[in-house]
Amino acid sequence: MAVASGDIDRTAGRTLFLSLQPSSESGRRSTGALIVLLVAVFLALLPFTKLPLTPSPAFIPAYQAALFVSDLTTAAVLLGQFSVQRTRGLLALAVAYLFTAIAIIPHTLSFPGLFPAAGTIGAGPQTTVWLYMLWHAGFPLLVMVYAAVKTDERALPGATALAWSAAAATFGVVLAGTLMTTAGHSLLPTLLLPDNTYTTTMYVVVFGVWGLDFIALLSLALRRPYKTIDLWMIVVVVAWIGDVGLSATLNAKRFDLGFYAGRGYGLIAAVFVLAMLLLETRRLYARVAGDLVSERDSAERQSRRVFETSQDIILITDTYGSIKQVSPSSARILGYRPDEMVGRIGREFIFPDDLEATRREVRAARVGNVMRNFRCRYVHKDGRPVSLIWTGVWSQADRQHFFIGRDVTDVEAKEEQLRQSQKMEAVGQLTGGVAHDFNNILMVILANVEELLEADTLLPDQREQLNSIAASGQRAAELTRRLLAFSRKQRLMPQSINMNDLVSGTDKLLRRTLGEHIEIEAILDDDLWTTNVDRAQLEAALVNLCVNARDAMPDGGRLLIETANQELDEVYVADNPEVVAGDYAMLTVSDTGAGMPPDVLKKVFEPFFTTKGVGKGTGLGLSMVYGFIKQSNGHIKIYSEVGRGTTIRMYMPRTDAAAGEAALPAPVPPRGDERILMVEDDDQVRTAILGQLRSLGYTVREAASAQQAIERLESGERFDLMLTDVIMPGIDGPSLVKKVGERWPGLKVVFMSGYSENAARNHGKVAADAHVLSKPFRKIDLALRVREALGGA
Amino acid sequence: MDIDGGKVAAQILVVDDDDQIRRIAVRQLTSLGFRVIDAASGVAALDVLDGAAEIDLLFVDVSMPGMDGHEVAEKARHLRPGLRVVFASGNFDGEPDDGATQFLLKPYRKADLAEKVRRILDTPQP
Repeated sequence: MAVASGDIDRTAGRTLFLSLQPSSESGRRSTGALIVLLVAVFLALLPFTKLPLTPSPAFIPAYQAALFVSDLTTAAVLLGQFSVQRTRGLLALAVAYLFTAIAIIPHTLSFPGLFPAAGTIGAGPQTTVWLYMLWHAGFPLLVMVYAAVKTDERALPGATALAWSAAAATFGVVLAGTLMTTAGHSLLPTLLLPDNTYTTTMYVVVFGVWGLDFIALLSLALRRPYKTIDLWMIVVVVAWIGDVGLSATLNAKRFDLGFYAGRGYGLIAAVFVLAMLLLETRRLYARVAGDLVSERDSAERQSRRVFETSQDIILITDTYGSIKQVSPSSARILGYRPDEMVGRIGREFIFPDDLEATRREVRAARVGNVMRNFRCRYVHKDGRPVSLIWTGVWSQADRQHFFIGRDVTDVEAKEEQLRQSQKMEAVGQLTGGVAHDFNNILMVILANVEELLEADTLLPDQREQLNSIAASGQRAAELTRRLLAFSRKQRLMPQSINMNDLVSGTDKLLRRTLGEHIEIEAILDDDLWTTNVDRAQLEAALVNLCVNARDAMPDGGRLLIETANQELDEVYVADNPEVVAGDYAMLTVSDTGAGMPPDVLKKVFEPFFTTKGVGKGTGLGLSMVYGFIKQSNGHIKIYSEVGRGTTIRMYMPRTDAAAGEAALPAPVPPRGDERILMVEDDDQVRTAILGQLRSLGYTVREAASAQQAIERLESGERFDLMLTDVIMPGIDGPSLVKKVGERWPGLKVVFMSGYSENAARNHGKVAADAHVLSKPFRKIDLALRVREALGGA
Repeated sequence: MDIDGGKVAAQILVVDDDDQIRRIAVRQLTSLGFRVIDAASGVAALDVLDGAAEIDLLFVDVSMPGMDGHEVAEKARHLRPGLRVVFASGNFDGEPDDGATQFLLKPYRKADLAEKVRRILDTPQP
């Protein structure tokens, strides 16, 4: 891991200094332009280099001081970079600048006429010019070293010690050179004549020094790729060539035009890298600032994303409870878009019963308590309560509350359902146990009474009393039998049946039991799966539900019996934990009665729970149905809405065995291609019959009322037969037929009636010879009756 | 076997831990013309079955402490393969009827009992 972190350091260092990054195209272009400019000025000056100008010795210290400061500063900056980056190249460059800075010192001190006439530090006439050669040869040599090592990116160990040793060595070299040119002055070949003109030796030496600059330039130019600093160094070396060329090589003597102009190039060479480094600093600041901004932006974007994608509701309110912000999830959870909530007071949305608790909790949050798992209901836009679990904090700094609320409505509903089914289970066990014990007690009572009644010696009164005990005992036994049904302990005789047959078979009984004011309709699925169930008990359950439905409709109404195949999948099971996933045949009983409120609905299956008046019901009817269905491995579900009616669905598991009667081949329904107008006000029933008729080959047009039927006929559409409901709002079936019969005499008619065929006739609703199809009917009944009316097969 | 035939009446072993109910069963069956042996527990019943007594039918209460009716029937059939059994119980817990097994829900009338017992005894023993 240590190696890896070292790598990270170096990588970070490499990207930190812009000068060490690969040069850009624009950088290369501007470098080229600068070089062209430098060369152009140089060439322009060439003819005038030997033009003598006024000697101004004070120029030297001013100029050299500038060089010194600039070189030393550059060296310091480069050493600073080296301490981070620790590459050989940076060390070489830093040393090059340090060398020139140091070399300037003895050169300046020894310059004749500046301080004492012959210069300080014991300099002779040749000292200064030789020190110049040392200074101007040293720099290009060190640049060559740089060019040679610059591609080596490995970090040197012991950077500080290395920097110090390099600085010391540089000092040493300059000191040695100074000593050689002062103490060893007598050994130096003469370069400069007393009139400041150059000797031949001077030309040899200075051309040699100048040549080093060209070699340095070449070595830089050949070492690709260029980093930004390489481009800068190329400019520096070009300026350096201009300096040495003008001021020492191509001029004639000290203080001529070349001497001064060359020093201009020298100044450029000394200042350029420093200037560029300062400019780089500016760019670096710009980049850091940019990074900071983009970092802040991305942090803001991220919190924004969290806010916007949260499935929980995030709510921010101020001291007064006014909503400042709310996450878009509010639309899904509460039905309000954020813009409908922001600006309003939070408590407007809270369920009234939970208002006081919420106030307390928020006050507690204000004094530093963290609100955690606080349950509070809100009111959905559609009016229903939504259960939310809240977490919240009060931020004193922002003077705002931050809340996060999770919708647990479904979870609570599921828990409630589980609790309910566990309760039913427990009550069932208890009931079963009690019933069992009662039955044993009743056994003793009833058997003894029975035995006593066998005696011939009883007085009439005694016989009557014993009969009374026996009757009560039987009533109690009947009660416990019902309790056993609820507690899933009754005796069942399951057999394979098709519930359609059961519905058809119960038809007469139901009509008799329910009375004429209840219209019965049935939608039966022809392909209904077979199920294994106690036929008698299922029949009893069906009658029971229908009687309940009747009682819910004292002023009459419609009872719909429906069968269908249903696959209860894992999704359904997740919401109804007591159900086993699989295929079920479903039998549904719906009424258009009074319906029940949710708190009643929750309890309808509990034993002895009744909404009927005292003495009207045992409160065991639905409990028995519930226990029976459960004992048969089925499932029962009730839906109800006050004023709309109640629907109870019974699901019985599908069995593969064919139903008892189904062993006979099913009769094939006769088909036809005539045109039929079907008039029925109930959409569900109409759609079901429509499908059946079409599957029999008929062309069918539908009308939801007598009025619509007449309009269809008047529009000129031709029909062979009209199938109409007897009872419809507005014009009823028989009246419709009367109106239509006069104008379209060829139109055959079949009535559909919720009453039995005979009842319909007996009430004079339809003519005695009319074709009547009584609901509920199977597809085969429909096919036969329609065919019969149309004539022929 | 045919009690009406006046030959030898069938012998029934009645097992119930409740003394009152057991006595009632004994009285009822006796008055119907059967010969009856009674036992107050499963263990006692199995002792009888292990002996030489001729038993045509086991009439056993389902819920008894210790060995329940189902267990008694199972062990009894181990001793007497094909033994006919009538279970009596205050609730129904799932034993299906077949030729050799019948179920009677308490409280039952004497007529129910007679009908049940007669039916099972009329079924040929496997």
